[in-house]
Amino acid sequence: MLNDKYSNLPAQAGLLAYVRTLQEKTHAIGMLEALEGEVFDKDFANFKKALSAKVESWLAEIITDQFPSSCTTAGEACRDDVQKIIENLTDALNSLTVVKITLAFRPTEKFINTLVTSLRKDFGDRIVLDISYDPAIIGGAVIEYKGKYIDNSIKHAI
Amino acid sequence: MLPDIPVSIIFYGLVLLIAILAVVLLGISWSMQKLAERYYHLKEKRTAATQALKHANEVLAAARTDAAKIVRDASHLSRDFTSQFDRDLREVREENSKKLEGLMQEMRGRTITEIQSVSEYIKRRIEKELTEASEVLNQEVIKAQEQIQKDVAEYKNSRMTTIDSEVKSAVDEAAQRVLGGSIEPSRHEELAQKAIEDAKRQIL
Repeated sequence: MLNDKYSNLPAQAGLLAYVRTLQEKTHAIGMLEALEGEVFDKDFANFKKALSAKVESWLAEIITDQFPSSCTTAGEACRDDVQKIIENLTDALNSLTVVKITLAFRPTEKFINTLVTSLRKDFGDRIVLDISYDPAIIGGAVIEYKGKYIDNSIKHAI
Repeated sequence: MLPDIPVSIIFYGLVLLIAILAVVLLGISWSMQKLAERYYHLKEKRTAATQALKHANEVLAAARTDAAKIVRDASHLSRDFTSQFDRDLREVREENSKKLEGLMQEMRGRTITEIQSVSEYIKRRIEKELTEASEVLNQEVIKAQEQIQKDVAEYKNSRMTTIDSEVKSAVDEAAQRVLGGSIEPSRHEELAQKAIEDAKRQIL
């Protein structure tokens, strides 16, 4: 069962390190969809070329790391395995829960990392942030998570 | 035994009796005619009372239209305007109340004078009808005044909500300009982190 074989991908940890926001998630899914087209349309021999052309290096590395050892030179025989790897990664991305955060400033990469780390510590690893910028809230933040809306902005406090 | 009465006396006696009866009948007929005239006159008065009631209703409708016009024309609300608005409405209300009161008194006074010479039964009946008409009129006045007060209260609430919202927007805008622009990026991050930590506690 290929699904079972790939369901606990250790790559998910690596995936989550790169996919912190909703925009990054959408981008990653787009890359995987483009790659899936290559799997169906071309010989597997060309797949590695497509891998470097269609996806960013971090994602290519995650996929390559999942190839079965028998698949390094086997060509066509590995097509199903690669397809399942892509499907599982896509499923993993689609199953992430979105935490919507509104800020009064444009966050730096460093601050996004701080937020993701802090939120994953409490809400679990399988979340992504949907960050929006709204100076009207003046300061603080507005958070929406699993149907809960919490307005801890300065505007709300005034 | 009846005494013998000459036939001529009996004859002239009968003629006299018939003449007296004719005079009495003429008197009764004349009285009935007068009574009927008075009754029709009162009927006319009653029609006049109905017309007065109709007129009163028109006055009330005009009062409501005036109030609605004041509300409709009001495009700006300030404290001065609010008091002016209240004054205008009070004036309209008082003016119309006076008109109605005068109308009712006039109607009652005139009608009572007219019916003083009529039988007690008709007097009571007419008075009862007038009292009922007066009660209906009073009810209408009260209802109209309540409706005007309700309209004014609704208008005030609606305007106050708008003003609250405008004031809030102005405060928000000022706060955004004054506070938002003066907060350092590092302070922004601290505030956001604190807000998120608080939110996590609320969620978990």
